[in-house]
Amino acid sequence: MALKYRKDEGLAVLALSGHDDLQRLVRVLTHDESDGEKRRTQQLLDDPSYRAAAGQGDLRPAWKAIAAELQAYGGDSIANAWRSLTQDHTGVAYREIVIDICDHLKLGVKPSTDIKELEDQLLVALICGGKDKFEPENLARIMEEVADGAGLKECLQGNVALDDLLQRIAIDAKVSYLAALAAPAIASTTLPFLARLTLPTVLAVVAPRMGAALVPGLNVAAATSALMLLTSPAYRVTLPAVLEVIRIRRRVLLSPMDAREVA
Amino acid sequence: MSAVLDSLLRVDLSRVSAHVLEGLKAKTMTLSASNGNVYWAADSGKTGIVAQLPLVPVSAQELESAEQLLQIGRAVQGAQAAAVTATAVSTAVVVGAIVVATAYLARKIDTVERAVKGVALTVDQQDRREYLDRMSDYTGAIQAASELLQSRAPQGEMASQAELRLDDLARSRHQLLVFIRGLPQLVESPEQTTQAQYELALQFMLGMLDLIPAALAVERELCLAANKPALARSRINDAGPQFRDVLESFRQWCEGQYRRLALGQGGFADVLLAQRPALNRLFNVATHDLLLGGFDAVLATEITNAAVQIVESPPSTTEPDRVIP
Repeated sequence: MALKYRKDEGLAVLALSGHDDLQRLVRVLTHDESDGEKRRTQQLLDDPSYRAAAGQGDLRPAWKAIAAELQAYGGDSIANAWRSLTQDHTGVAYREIVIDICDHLKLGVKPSTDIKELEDQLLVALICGGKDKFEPENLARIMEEVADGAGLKECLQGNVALDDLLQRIAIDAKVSYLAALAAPAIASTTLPFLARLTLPTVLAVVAPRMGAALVPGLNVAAATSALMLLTSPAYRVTLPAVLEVIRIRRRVLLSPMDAREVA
Repeated sequence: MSAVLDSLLRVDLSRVSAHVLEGLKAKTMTLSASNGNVYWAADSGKTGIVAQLPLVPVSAQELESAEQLLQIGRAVQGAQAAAVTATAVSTAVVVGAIVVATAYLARKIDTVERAVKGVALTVDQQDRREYLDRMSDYTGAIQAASELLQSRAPQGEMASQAELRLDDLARSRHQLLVFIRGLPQLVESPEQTTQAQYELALQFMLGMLDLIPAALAVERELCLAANKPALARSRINDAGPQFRDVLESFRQWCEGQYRRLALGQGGFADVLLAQRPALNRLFNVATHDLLLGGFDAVLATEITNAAVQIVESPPSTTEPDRVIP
């Protein structure tokens, strides 16, 4: 069954992203980081448009194939096959995938909510889920180190109180980007698979500075948090992939159309 | 590249009389970038041609040494980039010569006319179609003006022909800018616009905004050829800022489209992805500053920078500028 992209405003941001960001997303979608093997269900690596773009060293022309792979992971395989036959696409819209994750987190979001707002709520939930695992000063330090590593320390304005920062996610693009970088790291304490899948991206920005504030948390293998609801196999792909899209969207929003990209 | 080089001349500043150099520096005189004639400026209290400056062909090294020229050169001939160093080339004259050159303009005009035809097919309202006809009138008139300036016709003949065209060009340009300012609002709603319409409109605006600085330079030369230096100055001083306003408004609109897409609020991702490099080139092109900054200002700076030894009476063997009584 070939990948078929479904027109999806929530994923159009991928058209504006860079090659490196898309490559990270592809890795999440196509490889199981627990053993480094290709996922058996992935179709992206065999997609002609993806192969052509990868051959050119620029994945941007293949953004629709990458988006289609994420959409396919959002639906179950039988429904995908049916949609492929009847509706000219295989997967479900990005919004549905995010709402599905939010529902499992019992966030009670409204389906009509703006997609960025939905994502912000997910970020807040993941960060708050780490409150049980970290002392408040360590959580604040993670945010501070992430901000420092991303070159956005000025946006903290000397105030790293977590609750204040969470309130600013919806209105401050830089804080929202920082949250997108920090959330996978914090949530990985309760969802160890996230550490393998998304932490390399975070560490690429903050690794030399992160130190002991985060590393001990990475060794926590299990928790009684509500986040454990997300450990079913499908979420092991869609959650880190959605977190990548969330990070990409905030990165794009921080970069004017004709400016250099942020770190 | 040789065809372009053959058609490019620069002023040999070392052979220009002190009287003319000082006049150009003080802006009491103004230089035609297309033929090397120096005219009395609008506020000088005098009219007519002062002198014809000595022009020499531009060498390949000189051409490659000026960044602005290379940008234009690439557009014309696909020349490769080279190291940028300080140069004594009279940039204003060389740029003027390139802009007036038919090949350079023809390429830009061809792009615009293809876009105009495309937009015309998708526009339903009669008044909008009439607007588009006038866009074609403008590009055609610029092309014809360029040919006139290159014809080397006798001064009197050229002046009368040039004068006839000036009003029409200015009117068409005003209409064009009004149309470009309004077009984005017509195509920005994904519910009411197809992707093809959106792409055509974007290509049209890109092409037109890329052409206008060069077209203004041609208009300025035409004013000088018509012996109207005050009008020539207004083409840069008045029309230049009008163009910049429209360009800035277009840039903000594109930025808004980009943000809408990023926020998942809809738009035409494929079109913006395909046109993004061209848009960024348009918004950052250094040539606009050169073309809209005024040739006189550029030339005055070059005269100062070149530190030419001003000689009152150049040796007769070097064919100095011919002062026209």
